[in-house]
Amino acid sequence: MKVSSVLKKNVAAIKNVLKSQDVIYYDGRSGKVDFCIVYIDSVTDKNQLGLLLLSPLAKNDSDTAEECENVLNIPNVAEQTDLNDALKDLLNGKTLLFLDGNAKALSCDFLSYQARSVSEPPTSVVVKGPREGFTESIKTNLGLLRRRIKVCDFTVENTTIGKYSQSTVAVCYIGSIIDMNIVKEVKRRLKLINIDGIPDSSYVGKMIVEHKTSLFKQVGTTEKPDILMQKMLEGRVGIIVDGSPIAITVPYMLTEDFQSSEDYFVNNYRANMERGIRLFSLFFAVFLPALFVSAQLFHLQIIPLNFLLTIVNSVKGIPLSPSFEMFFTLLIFEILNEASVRMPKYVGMALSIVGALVLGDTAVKAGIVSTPTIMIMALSGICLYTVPELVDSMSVLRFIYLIAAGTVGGYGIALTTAFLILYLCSLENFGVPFLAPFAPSYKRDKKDALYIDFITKMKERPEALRSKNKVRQRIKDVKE
Amino acid sequence: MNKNKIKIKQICALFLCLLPLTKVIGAPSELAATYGEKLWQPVVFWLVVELLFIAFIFYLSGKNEGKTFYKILEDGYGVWLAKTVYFIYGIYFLLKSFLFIIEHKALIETAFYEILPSSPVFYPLFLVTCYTSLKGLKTLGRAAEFCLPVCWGGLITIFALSVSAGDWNALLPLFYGSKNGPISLLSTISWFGDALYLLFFMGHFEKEKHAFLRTTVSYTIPYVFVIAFFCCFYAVFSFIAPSQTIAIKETGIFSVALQNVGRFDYLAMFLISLGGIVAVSFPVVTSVKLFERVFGISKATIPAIAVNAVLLVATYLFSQKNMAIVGLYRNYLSPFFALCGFILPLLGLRRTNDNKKLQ
Repeated sequence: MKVSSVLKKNVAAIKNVLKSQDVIYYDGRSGKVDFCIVYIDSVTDKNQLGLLLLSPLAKNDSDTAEECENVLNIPNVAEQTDLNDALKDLLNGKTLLFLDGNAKALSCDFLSYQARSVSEPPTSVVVKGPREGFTESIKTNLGLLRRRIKVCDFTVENTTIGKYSQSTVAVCYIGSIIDMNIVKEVKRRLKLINIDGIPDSSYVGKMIVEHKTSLFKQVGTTEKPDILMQKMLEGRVGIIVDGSPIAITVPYMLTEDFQSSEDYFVNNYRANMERGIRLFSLFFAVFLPALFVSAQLFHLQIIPLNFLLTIVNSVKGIPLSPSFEMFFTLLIFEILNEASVRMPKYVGMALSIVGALVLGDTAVKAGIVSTPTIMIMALSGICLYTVPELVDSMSVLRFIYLIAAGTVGGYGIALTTAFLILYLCSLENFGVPFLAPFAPSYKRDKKDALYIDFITKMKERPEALRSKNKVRQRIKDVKE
Repeated sequence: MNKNKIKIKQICALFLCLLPLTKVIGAPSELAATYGEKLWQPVVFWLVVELLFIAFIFYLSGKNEGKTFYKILEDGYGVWLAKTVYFIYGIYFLLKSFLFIIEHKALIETAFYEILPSSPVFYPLFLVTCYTSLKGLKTLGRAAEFCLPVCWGGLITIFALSVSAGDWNALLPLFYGSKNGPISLLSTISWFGDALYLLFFMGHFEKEKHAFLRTTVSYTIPYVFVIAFFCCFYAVFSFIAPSQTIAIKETGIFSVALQNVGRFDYLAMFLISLGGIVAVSFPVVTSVKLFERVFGISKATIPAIAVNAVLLVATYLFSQKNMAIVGLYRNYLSPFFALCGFILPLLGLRRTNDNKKLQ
């Protein structure tokens, strides 16, 4: 439907569709021209509206709509001749100005949402390095990114997803680095999404991946603009969703989650030690309960004699089988974990006391579970959180391994691992192997995988990402 | 993704993973029984033969660029002969995988369990091999790359533990006094002849720099390790070596280090068994791919289930008859293995119409 030159007709048409009471219709007269401003109360900056729109119109004494238009000096304004497009703008928070005798609507951006201020995200706290984190506002997030990437190649392509939420989704990439096939594929997959609403970017992340039922996450996520910038500079696409403080990055490889942003800011030796600790911790977190159970049930020789004697003494009189005992304690850990996240903070202290003292200490004293089992559970539980991004999949995997170890023993662990390796080797995201740079092997990319090489030696971008521009840095020796 | 596209480096990884693991379980004791202290000689013989065979395959691959062996056979002799040859090879790899599965089962049962576990403990292996069959060569190649450090870590640990425990004089004399002729050499073919896999990779890998050199090196390294391991095995056990049927399990356990820190050779056995699962999948996947082609099935589901079901039933029926199975392979199946290993590949030499036209 076209915008009419008769003001009343336009206003009536909008009122007919938008019956909501938070839509404000401000009627007025500028010189000899009638006008109507339509906006949504909760999302409009009234100061700007008054200053940039109402005030010039009130002072104006023009005879025609065109002259009225000329007195306006609004930086972000669009002309809409189609009423549906004008309505879309209105629902996106813009302010519409209808002038009598003018067959178009002026769509002005006085958008003002209540947004959280930029702060350090709780999921990726660093001792050294930038502390800014994304917020729920896409404008703020893009601003944070723009501040870091100041080249013409940095492209943001907006699209709208969600039948009702009409959420803005921004696809960001650096044109001269990215493999454009990845961008094309991302855009194609975003177009395929047909859903009522997008409350968070994780919805988009789950919908654009190939292996939707996988236990492992298939997209990278970050709450920090410096990490997103770094990933885009490596040749990845960033996806920012309005209303979500978490940006998505694709293609994703498993090794990414072992890389902390701080690794690149601290001393290289320290960074390597931390990365090693993360890897070993994850290994302990997943395998330790299973190995302990299988050793107790099937392979006692593997345990050194003195340690074996300690275990024998502590498990004496325990009514549960080793596998059930471990399963039980891990389950209790997961319950405590779940409760502590959901529980109000002031109850947290009580929960710690109940969890640590009542359940842990008393269970051991009562002879329900053994001390080594509690120790293994605690160690495994703590270790898991050294790589927070993998907690979801690894906590499930830990139970799978436990079942395999409790039923088949060490061979069960080997079989589950073989299956896992084969499964992970078969995964690809946007044509990039999930286990790269190990399977398939990319020698160059291994400089930032299990260990981290000196930054000056990482001269090329990751090979697995097939970037157009392969060279990341050209360093001249300071001694030259 | 093309499930069966594979890179030379992945073929190398597969060889590096498969070759040592298939030879260090049952073969050492069998060869020690026949060759005594010269048990390493057949390994050297097969290494030379197989390197020549690799050269032959690269020659064939160069002549028929981009063509699979099936396509060469089809162009040269027609569809039916190609299908028949592929069917024979399907059986060949099925038999080859069965021998390794039986050995792998014996290793697992004796190394990981105090008392003989019930058979179903082993059977989930077939779920893994079935899954791998569905995923294709590309996944297997990547898995081999990933498992390479794992299985070599295990092998080297066991080898390192046993080196100091052996009496190396037991290997003397090195060259004199061998009474076994070519017939007995032929009977050991069941454990060797792995270069044949390359024949079926033809057309699945692209031309790469130094492909021949890289393949031969990756083929030679595991053989050198196997020779060293065989010698070490005999050095440790000497004349009682033939009774040590699961060589890799027995070799390291006399290390002095173990008495101080516990049986950490178990950890090495875990790693070896993990590599073994990937290695077992290799002949199974090859067999599935060949049957897929023979019966013209586009999806691997049916051949994968069928091949794995056959192997499962055979393992169930003959699981406690290891000696008889090895005897069967050595006495009766070795001519069939020789036919598949060295005669049938020669069919690829026939000039096709395309080649003639080109010339």
